[in-house]
Amino acid sequence: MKFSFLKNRFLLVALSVFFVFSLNFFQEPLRAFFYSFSGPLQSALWDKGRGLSNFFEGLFQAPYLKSENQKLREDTLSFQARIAALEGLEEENKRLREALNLGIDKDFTVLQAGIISKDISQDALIVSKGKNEGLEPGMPLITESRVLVGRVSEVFDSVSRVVLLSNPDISFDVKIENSKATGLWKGKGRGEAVLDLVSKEIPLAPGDFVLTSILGGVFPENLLAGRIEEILSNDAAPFQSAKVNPFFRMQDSEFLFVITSFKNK
Amino acid sequence: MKSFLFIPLIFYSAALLQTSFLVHFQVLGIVLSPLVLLFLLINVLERKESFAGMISAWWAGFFMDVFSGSVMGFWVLVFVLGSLAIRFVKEQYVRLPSI
Repeated sequence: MKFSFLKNRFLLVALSVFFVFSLNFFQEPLRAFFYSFSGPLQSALWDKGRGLSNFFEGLFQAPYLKSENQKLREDTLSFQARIAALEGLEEENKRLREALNLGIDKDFTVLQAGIISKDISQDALIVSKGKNEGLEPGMPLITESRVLVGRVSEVFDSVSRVVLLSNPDISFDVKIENSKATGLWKGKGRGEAVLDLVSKEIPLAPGDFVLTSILGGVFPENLLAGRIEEILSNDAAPFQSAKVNPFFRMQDSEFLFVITSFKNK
Repeated sequence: MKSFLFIPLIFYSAALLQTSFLVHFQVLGIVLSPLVLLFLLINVLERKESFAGMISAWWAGFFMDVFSGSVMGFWVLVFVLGSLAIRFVKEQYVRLPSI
């Protein structure tokens, strides 16, 4: 009799599933527990994986390196021209600020964090800083090149979960570089995102840079978010939309920076 | 019975491997999942009287839930139903040749 109920497979399955669902009441300490003792191992595995992946990427892409190099040279020239133009604007901006007696402090304060793993089922990362270091949900993350990575969605004691710009939970206001166009960035999952609600009066073009906007106050202004890959709008739609490629690539960044406070918040 | 003790350890290692190492080796945006592969392997190859398939489904789902942002229990349910489906197909439609 004692073992007869064990033979009832469905009852056991139902009980076990019910048990796991009941763990939702303790999901934060449970996940924190696993992340806390898995962290060092995951960090080591992440570094090994990243190193090996970069090695193989270089090996497999060797035939295309020449053309890519050529394209990068062209990009560099284009960027140099832009920098020259921006330097002029920066100088003008500085003079205006001085004239208005506005202090030029750092735009934001940051905290360095390492990536330790990627979420199994969603566009999210786990980083090596958490509640103990003062992280809070909603804080943005950037790379050293001021490329926007995403924002903190959940904090545990020593680690945090970060949703990437391609995560379907992410949407924020953006602007297109060198134009007055503004729009809404929406994550679509699996590394993809779209730019939506852009006025039809301002033409978009593949290759345009997408920057964060001060509207909405979700992220600091002028962080690099991505680049327009393909225009998706049709004549019937009231707004333009486009497929965008987020700039952030996991394999390129060893460390991320959590913005703990920024001025235009 | 002893092997049941190793199952959580194996699946835990597979989860770490998947989230921190194999994630760098995506092919067309797809990451190889040792959790799923192990689950399939155990469920397909287990004997009729064995319970290892169900245990492995539970642990695979548990670690998927822990290392993802989804609701706890979602992946356990998916894997357990998957295990039952595999068992059903094996019992109903698969005849292994006897030696």
